[in-house]
Amino acid sequence: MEDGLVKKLEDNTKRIFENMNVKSSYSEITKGKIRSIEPPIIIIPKKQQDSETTKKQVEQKIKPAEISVAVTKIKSAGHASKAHSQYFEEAMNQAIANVAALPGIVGKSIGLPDIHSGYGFAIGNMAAFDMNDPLSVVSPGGVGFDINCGVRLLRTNLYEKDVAPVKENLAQSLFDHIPVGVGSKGIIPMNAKDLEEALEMGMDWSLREGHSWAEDKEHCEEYGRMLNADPAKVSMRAKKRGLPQLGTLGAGNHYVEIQVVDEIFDKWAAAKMGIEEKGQVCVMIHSGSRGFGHQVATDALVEMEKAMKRDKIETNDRQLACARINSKEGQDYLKSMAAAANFAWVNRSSMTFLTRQAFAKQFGMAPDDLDMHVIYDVSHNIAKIEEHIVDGRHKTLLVHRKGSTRAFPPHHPLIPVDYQLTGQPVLIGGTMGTCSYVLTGTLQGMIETFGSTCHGAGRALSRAKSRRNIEYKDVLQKLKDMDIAIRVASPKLVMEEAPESYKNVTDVVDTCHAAGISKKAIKLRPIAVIKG
Amino acid sequence: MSQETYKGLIKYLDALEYPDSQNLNFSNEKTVREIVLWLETNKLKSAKSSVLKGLQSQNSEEWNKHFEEYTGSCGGFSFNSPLEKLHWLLAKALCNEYAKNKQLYNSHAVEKIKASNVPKVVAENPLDRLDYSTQESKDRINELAKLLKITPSPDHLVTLSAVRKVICSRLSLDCAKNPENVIVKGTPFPYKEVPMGKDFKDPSLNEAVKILQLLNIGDIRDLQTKASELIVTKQKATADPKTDTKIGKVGVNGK
Amino acid sequence: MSFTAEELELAPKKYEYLDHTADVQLHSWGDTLKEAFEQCGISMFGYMTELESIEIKQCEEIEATGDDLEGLLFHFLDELLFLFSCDPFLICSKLVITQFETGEEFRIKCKCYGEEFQIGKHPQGTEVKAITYSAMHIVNEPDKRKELFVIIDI
Repeated sequence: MEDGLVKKLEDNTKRIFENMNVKSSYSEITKGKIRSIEPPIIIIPKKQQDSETTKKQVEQKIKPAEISVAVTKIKSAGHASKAHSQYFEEAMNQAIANVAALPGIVGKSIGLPDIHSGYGFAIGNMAAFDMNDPLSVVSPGGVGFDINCGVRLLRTNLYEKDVAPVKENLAQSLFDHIPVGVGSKGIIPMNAKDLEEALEMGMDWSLREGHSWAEDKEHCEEYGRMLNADPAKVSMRAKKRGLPQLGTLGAGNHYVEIQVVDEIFDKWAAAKMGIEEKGQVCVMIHSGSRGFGHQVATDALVEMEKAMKRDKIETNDRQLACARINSKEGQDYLKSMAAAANFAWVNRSSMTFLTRQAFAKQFGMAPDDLDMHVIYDVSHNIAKIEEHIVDGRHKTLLVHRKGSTRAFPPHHPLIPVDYQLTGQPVLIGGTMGTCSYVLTGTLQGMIETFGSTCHGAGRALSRAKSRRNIEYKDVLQKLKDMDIAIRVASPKLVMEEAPESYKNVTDVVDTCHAAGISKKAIKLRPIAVIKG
Repeated sequence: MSQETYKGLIKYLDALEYPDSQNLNFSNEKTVREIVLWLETNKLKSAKSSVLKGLQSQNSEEWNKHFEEYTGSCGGFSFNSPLEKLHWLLAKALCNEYAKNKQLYNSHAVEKIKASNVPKVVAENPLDRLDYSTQESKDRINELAKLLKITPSPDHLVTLSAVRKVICSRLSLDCAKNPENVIVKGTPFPYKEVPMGKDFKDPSLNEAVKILQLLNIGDIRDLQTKASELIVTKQKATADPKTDTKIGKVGVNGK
Repeated sequence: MSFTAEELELAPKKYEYLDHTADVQLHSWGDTLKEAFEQCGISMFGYMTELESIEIKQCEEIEATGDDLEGLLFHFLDELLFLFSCDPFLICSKLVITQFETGEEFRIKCKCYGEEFQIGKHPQGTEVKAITYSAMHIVNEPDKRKELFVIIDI
């Protein structure tokens, strides 16, 4: 009898494995299908702008050395206003203090080193609210308009020497594959039903449709899907704005960059991320939830204004609209924000797909063989419900991060298994032509800043000032001198995003490293920039 | 019709106490007709008299027509052969039987008979007749562990299960043939330098905790890989990445 | 669709862009609030593309309401942004407010003249994400020039 039983078990096992056929990979699945897509179309280069009207007068040339970075030692930060002492403008202090005065706030309202003024919350601000305090609020101003704006980093097994000869072609190819700039529309066909599903499923939708790899999902915050998303809570208006824009990069500070590893600070962490040595090529995608997220935020602000009158919540700034977490408006916002977050993940996934296609065509190899895995995907404009220890006691908090990145330490249950020993990778996008960094989360950051760190360079000059002070041709020339290929939808506006307009990202990162709230792992340098 | 289905039919007929269920020839249409009639007469008893009459005329050309009428819509299923239909009919009869004597059958449910079955199984396993508490067993187990380079535990039964694990995972026939499939490859990592979140103020305890953490990570990685593999199999059915090249401008110079 | 010469004539520019750290502040003015509102809307489109590139081929009517003057301005601009962001993807070089109610109820009806945004024809400027209430300021005093200050998120 045993013999029969064992035999049967073995047969069953064999059958299961035969049927599973798990060895096949994404590229095998999609190979046939990609091929069946109609052959690539010849490109008409996007037109350069040649009107005289945008040409701004040069009042004075800017000297980058004169721009100082406000260095703050977060360790010594007590309550918000103290943390930023003399370095920050009054307005910024005011913004942080306004946030610190909101009901239900736990600990401190924290300004990170890349802080610059926004409305309501400053950009580079994080604040946590106690979920169990009935007075606690959620504020769309604490998330920002570009919900789940974030950065994704892909690695490749290529080196600078492989890419250098075809850099211009590759940059052009990326520019042609990925819709960029004002008024661009997505090239992945979508209808209203697809959008509803994508809003609910996030990256699971991308997986289902075959735009993503199964492994991509592992390396995203929340596995690329916020489960509390409810598309029914999202206005028709937002959906209408979102539909044509899914799979587009956007404009402003959003970009796709081809980067090479310039320096490795932590070789073990780098190895875990699949980064072996200097010169390895990566691709960074910085984008968000496009018009969809912007409209969700706008709708919520309008709704909350009414709720504030009803619940008698007063704030110092009309833009700082908020609602009790437990109120209908608060709950509706959290659900629609989650839908917008899912939109952003799908958006970045679609562009990942297009990036992989562009590389595959250029090098005549499957993306799988190019090892184009997602290293990580961070969100730097989002509110999340998290568990934290505050004053030795366990608390459930609603953590708002606006221009601030989650940075969880090693062994945190919410970070991917591959990074359990290194801590969560934190992607810090630089500005056009400057470096980017990969950091890792630390225990100290978990304790002191609710597991948060900086998100990027942070603005130093206003856009108008940049337009006046910097000549766009100089910016383009400078990039050319640095041997960086550039493709921009609106070249006459590149000075707004010129490195001189921003704080030095290296200083920002060094500050966070020194304060111990995150740890430097890799430095990346751009060799090609694609922008709106 | 597969062997499985035949087996299933026989099993069902057996359970319904059909006479001589082991020696039936299903390829003979007559057999099927006999079974159907038997089922209706003895078990189901649901046919209208006209239909029953039709089923009773076993050699009639019209039989199949009556059979159709008898089974009606069959719960909305579609069938490839009369045998499949018979299978469904038998299952229905079994359900009726079970419903009639639910309590009686439930008292023989698997979870209840398990207990009484266990000793029987044990007795049939030669290994279970061994006495593991003797000094000889202990020594032999420790020797085996030494041979496999396993640090023995004070509890020799724990050692034995470790031995079993190593043998099953590393010394199977398959492993011997393709060792590279089994041996774990990876890059070294200075795990000792990683903060573990809590200091237990005892070096050996800390070390043990770190090892447990690593084992846990290994387990989760395994689970995650299986999850990803499952997703990939599903993608085979669902994935159809489309791009509308007319809207954007995809591709460069036909490359 | 054909338009009269009057409809095709563009209003003189009465707006400017002011400094704001991460974003841009629209400043528009006019003899009446109506004119300042029209100018403010145009200044927003002017940030997205170059107005000279726009041909008037199409006209859409929008309606906006608000609880107060600030709310009205916010919703007015939001409607214009919406007009651009999805079908009909209209980019405008001329706005004519046909109805402007303040007092009991704040309501605007506006005719928007322009055409569908086309990459290649219209230079891509900066994308406007949203309208904000931040530092919104409306100068509305009798016998004085009317002025509007709005920060848009870009």
